[in-house]
Amino acid sequence: MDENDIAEVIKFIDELIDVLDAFFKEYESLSDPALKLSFLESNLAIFGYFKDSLFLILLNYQFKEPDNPTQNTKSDTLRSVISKILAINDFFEHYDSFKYFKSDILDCLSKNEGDFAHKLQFDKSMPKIKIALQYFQDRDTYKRTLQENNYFEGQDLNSPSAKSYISNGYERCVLGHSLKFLRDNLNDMSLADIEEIFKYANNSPFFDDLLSKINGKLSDDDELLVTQYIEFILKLKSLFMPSKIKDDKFVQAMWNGKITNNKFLSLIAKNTPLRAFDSLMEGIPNNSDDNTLENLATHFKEHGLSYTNISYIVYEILSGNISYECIAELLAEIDLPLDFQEFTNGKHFKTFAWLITGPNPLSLLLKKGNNIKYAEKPFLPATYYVKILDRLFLEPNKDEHFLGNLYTLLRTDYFSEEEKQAIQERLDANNLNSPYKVDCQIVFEGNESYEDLCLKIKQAYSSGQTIPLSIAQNIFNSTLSVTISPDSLTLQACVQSTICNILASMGITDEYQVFFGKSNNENGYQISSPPHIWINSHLLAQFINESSLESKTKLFETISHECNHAWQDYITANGDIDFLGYNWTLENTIRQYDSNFYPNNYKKIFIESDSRKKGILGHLHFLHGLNPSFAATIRQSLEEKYFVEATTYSLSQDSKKEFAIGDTTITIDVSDYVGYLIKDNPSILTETPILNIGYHQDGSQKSIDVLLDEFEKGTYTQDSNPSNIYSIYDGLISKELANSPTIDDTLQEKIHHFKSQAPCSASMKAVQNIAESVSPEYIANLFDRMQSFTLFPKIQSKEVDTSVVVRG
Amino acid sequence: VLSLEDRQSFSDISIIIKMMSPYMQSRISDKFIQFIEENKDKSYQSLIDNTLPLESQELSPNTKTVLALIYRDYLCSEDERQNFILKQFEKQKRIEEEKKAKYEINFKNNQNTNQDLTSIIEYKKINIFTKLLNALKKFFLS
Repeated sequence: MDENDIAEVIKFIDELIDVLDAFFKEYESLSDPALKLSFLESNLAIFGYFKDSLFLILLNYQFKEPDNPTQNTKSDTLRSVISKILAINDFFEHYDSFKYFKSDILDCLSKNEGDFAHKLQFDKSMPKIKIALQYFQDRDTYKRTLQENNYFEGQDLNSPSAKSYISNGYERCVLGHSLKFLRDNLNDMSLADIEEIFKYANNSPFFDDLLSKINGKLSDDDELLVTQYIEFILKLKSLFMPSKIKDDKFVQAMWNGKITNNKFLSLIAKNTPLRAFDSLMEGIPNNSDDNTLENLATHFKEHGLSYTNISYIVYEILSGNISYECIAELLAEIDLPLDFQEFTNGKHFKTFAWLITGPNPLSLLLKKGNNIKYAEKPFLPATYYVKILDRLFLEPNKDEHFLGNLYTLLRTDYFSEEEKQAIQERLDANNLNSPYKVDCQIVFEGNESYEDLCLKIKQAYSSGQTIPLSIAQNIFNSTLSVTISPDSLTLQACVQSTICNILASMGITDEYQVFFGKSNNENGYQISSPPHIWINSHLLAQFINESSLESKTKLFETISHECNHAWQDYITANGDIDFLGYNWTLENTIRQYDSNFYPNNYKKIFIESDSRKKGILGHLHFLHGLNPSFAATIRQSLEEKYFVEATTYSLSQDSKKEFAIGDTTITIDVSDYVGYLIKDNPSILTETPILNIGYHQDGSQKSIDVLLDEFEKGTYTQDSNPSNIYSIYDGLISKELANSPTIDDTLQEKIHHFKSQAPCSASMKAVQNIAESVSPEYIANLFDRMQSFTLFPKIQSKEVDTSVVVRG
Repeated sequence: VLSLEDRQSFSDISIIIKMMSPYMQSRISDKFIQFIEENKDKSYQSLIDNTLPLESQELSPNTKTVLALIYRDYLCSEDERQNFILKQFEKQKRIEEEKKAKYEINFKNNQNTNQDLTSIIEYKKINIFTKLLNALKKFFLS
């Protein structure tokens, strides 16, 4: 065939599809069945042409093409024609020449689909994958037509063409290639493309079919597909629609005991966020909060899972970002065994024997439990404290922070009175009370010797009194200028006093508690509920033992850093925040849904970069307060550090954050990501009203036009400071502008009007009013004077600058 | 030639520019700012308080004029500029007219009009078709 012949054939095919489409329109307009039949019979020849050229027709039009609307319209028409032909297959079976018409169509569809899917492995591009995925809908149309007309019943189901068609080979192949493509190209893919693959894979009934076979012998391809679904689709679902994760078919199957394959159980549990387990646990009847392990085990046993199955699931739960509070609670449930021996000899062994089967969750629990005594997290359940105080390894000197934190905790309302009493009894019985605790108010005279001063400080601190800041500064000063070193407890009291005074100076009225402990990961942390700041004790040791001033006083940087976090939480909770604060709110929203978000993006997170900068400034400021010469010594070094921080991490550079999926990561702009979360859970907007500035109720982000109009109308005012509200609108508009290649004159004028309303003491409106009050004659005279004086070049208005940069 | 008053106004303007938003500042040409800085009276003690809004400050007429020049040539948008120039033009016209009214004797005002108050006005009866046509025209052309 030469080119002309091919063109002729294509023309013929095109016309044939159009003729058939017109035929069915006419056919459907007839209401009399006899008339319909006669219309069909008289036009049988057209179907003959269709049957004879079926292969060519499908080759050309079964699949759509990217950016080819003509082809795609034709393809849609063809799909409609085929489903209509299939719907009246009974008619054709009366004719010998059309007896196998349906089978011919299915054979052809099937073969062509197979070829297309097979070729995907050599040409794996997003446009091709999109076409292959979109074709799922066409297949569904054909299958539905066949099912609605009972063509998949009895004998029909046994025909090779039907078998091939319903075998889902196409879906298997396309989903396999798509998920592999996703895995290989995740970093470079657009969010829209990821969403597209996710949507089809999530909705495909193909995985239901796989799930029903999951406990049997799966082919290598199917096993890979299940793994890819769990690692990618489940994870994407936990990112984009976290509230739906507990309803996912694989999570539900695991929870309801439908999966007994340990490998898959592990994988599902590993990729299911703890939040989802929490929601699932809430649904257990007779669930009591204080018996988590027992509740879990009973639930799974009732659903037919073996001890080994349960141990695989629980091991993965424990491997995740499970809190120390939870670990302590689980350990308390089994009476805090020190080792396996003690556990197997104990009374809980019978109930929790599954803890030492399979991957051995008990070993993990004990390992994590060992870290608790480093006092990294002080808020542990009372039952844990009551039991741990009787253990042999607790010694006042060795475990000073663990006990110190408990003393602090006992002065808060974290425990009930009964719990406090029970803990106090165990402290008394084991002689673990603080030796410095006194019942009277400590008064500082000002003339105490250094030793007496330290003793008084320890007594005040151990009795719940905050020492005056001047006393703390005195200790700091003498350590830095004279070679006198305070002991750790005295220093703790000074740190606690400093933190309380800094917070008070910021206007923070919450009663922040200060805790100390050891950690290899962080210098400190702050949490607003219950309000507390934790400081790593290695900073205290560094203050006492290091020789360089900067290393010694790193402690002050951490104090300022954590106090700034408290301030961030304070102003965010009050809703009076500018654009930077708005971004903290976005980050905090994500943090609630993805426990890995914070550790994966620690350096880039605005909450952290802001605190790092404030930490450096606070360090310098505090040192200056102690002695200006200290600040002068390290000023340059800290300024350089600040400069690096300020230029590396800013709002204009780091809006994209990384999210781990499987063993790879994707980067998403935090604004886009929060949009997905709002779409999944619109109550976020009620809980965090400030986000209403940037988002519609459906999670979509407001356009520049909408933002400008809403600012003009004052849609969002609340009780916030107008300059903060302006800053948020300005930030959002500038960010949108940076992504908009062109803007028209009308929008340009609106933006100018918006920008001219920036709150400042010399506003555009004020200048305009003054300008309008001046006589034109005066302006002309002044202009002449200026020009004659300098030959000042003719004053020309500056071009309106459209390259708006997101300001930090 | 720049007067001392001009130079003192430049000192005020130097402070006022720093009170503007970054966006407003970015619209003023660097050369203009440089001119202001180079020619301001450095010994002059300005009364501008940068913590107070501009509206509540007492500005000299000359400072207001410099500010008007800045507004006209840098700060306003093209539309606002047209509007401003138009207002200025009208203001100038009004001033001229006021001057005229003040200093010139307008003889025309003293002349009687030639209108013949007794002339007859023709009454044209509108027939029904003309009315209908007018109504239709109104309908289609509205």
